[in-house]
Amino acid sequence: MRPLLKVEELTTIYETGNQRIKAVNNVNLEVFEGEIFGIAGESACGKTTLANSILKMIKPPGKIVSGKIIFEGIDLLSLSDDELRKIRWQKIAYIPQASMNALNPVLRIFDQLFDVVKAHKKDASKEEVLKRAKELFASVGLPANVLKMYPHELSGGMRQRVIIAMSLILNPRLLIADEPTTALDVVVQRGIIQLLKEINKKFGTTILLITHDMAVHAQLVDRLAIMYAGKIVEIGSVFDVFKKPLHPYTELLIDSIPRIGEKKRLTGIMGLPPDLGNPPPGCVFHPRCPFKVSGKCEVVEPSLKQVSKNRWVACHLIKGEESE
Amino acid sequence: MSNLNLLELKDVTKTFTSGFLFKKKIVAVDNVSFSIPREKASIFVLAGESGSGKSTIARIILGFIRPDKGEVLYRGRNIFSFDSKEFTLYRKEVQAVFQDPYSSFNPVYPVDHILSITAKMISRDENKDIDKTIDEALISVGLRPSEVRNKYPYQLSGGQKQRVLFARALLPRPKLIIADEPVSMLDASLRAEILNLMLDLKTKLGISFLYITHDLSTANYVGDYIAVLYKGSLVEMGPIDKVISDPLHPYTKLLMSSVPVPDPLKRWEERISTPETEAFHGTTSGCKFYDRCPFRKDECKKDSPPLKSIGDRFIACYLY
Repeated sequence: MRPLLKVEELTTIYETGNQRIKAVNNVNLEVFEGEIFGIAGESACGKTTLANSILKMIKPPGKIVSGKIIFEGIDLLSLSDDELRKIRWQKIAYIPQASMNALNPVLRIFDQLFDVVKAHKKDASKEEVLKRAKELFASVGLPANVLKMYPHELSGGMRQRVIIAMSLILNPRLLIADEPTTALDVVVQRGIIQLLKEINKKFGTTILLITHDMAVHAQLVDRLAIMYAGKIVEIGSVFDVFKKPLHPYTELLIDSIPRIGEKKRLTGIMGLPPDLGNPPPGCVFHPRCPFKVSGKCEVVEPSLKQVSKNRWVACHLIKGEESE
Repeated sequence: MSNLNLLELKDVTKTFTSGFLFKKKIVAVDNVSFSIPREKASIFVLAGESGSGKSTIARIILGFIRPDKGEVLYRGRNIFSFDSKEFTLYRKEVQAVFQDPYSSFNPVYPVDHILSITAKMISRDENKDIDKTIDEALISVGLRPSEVRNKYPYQLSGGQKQRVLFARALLPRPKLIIADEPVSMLDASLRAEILNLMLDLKTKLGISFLYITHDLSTANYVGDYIAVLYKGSLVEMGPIDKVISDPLHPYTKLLMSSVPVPDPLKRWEERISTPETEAFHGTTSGCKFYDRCPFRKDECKKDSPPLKSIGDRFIACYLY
């Protein structure tokens, strides 16, 4: 498999007053064509900043200070705004968090969809778009009459389906979805997880899924990256990561999820995520890590090392095959 | 008889009216009855999707709104017939912790402030030392008083904030805490500590909880007993281990099968139909789950099914 998207040494900061917060800190990752790639991590670990950086949508006081975003062989960060407009939505579609609440309340669904197409393809005809929209709505499990409705007539789950259909209208190769199932009821959430899986199969759309919910990752993604304090600490196939988490943070995170039918006492993770304006020296996780090696972890920052085919970990306890 | 119960809801109904010219009635809570026993501290889970009436029930129990019909009995007496002195005592014994620890603090005061308001009211009645009371409460939720008392809310994590709010709820030494989605805004690593805190408060201090949530995996972790709500009505109620391992009502079954298992080896295999498209039409009579029910019969359309007792469980469904 070849990478469709490659993030190389990306660092994005927020500068406020005399604080300089590294929200994304030297991140490297590859998303392969046709896969569902998940990014997991707790609030404020930099997941959303990473997504926004990929599409160069960071606004001041945020700033991408270094790195490359290679998509189809081109570094997106080197493109002008006009050139980027041709990539956004047509090649890479983005579903931001809570976008289902961002539909225009006074426009019918079809008109909003048509506006999207118009913005990217000036010569699009209404008939053509209507035909495509009907096909798409059938694929996302919505009846065609929803096209004539207003957002307030739809339930949360239906609005999320509308957003997913909208994101696919220009047939993108990559879909970035930020917390697409958060704030939905479980039954509706299951439907959306199923839908994303079907889209990936049916249209071959590569999906980059961002969520804090490890159970959603377990159900949906092929490969998973774990983020902590702006850094990727582990990448691997979702089966390997859940079966044998290598980084202590991943292990503790998986152990802190309650499972139905089990009443084993949950451990949680002691302490707090670090202040990114003043991160600890050495490994960012060392203040909370029960396995830290004194003299090493608080001094030397571990790099993301490949430990086996398709498995990367940033931890001194894990020996790599090769160092980067 | 009902004195065996700490709290009992009897046929509680609450209807809200919305709209200006075209008034629309929404039955938020429909004939709900359940009870929390008195003899042994327990965690009673009230589970349901958004809009199922969970929080309305919490607001009724706390006396914020009055039900249109039915009674809320505390130790056998209707809370809406209490005089103001009795009601104050009731509100001391029944405390609340809500969903959002981030917006429950006044950002310009240190943590001490929120605790001292409550502590002052308590110590005025009991002649106790304010500082000591606050320290005790903080220790029982696993916080070190010297570390948190002078901190401002922004210096604490969500989990710590929620712990402080639990400490505040503990100050009046309650018998029952109404916890409305207390962990849904917290990260997984912090969520575990709050759930464990609830378990500890139950076993060590003998405090009962009404734990209101949409999340069945956390419910299963802490709960002893569960009541499942659907559009304002109770559909199933019973000991949580039984309800979760063997749900009987078709809605409980659907709910249980929709909880994602955090294990990639246990992925869903069968496809579910997408019910949201029909769900919002709503039926006017009969079982509220009719539209989405795979086992529906004509009978279900006529009258709403009563809550029947089967073994140690209650189910509102014509299948049983």
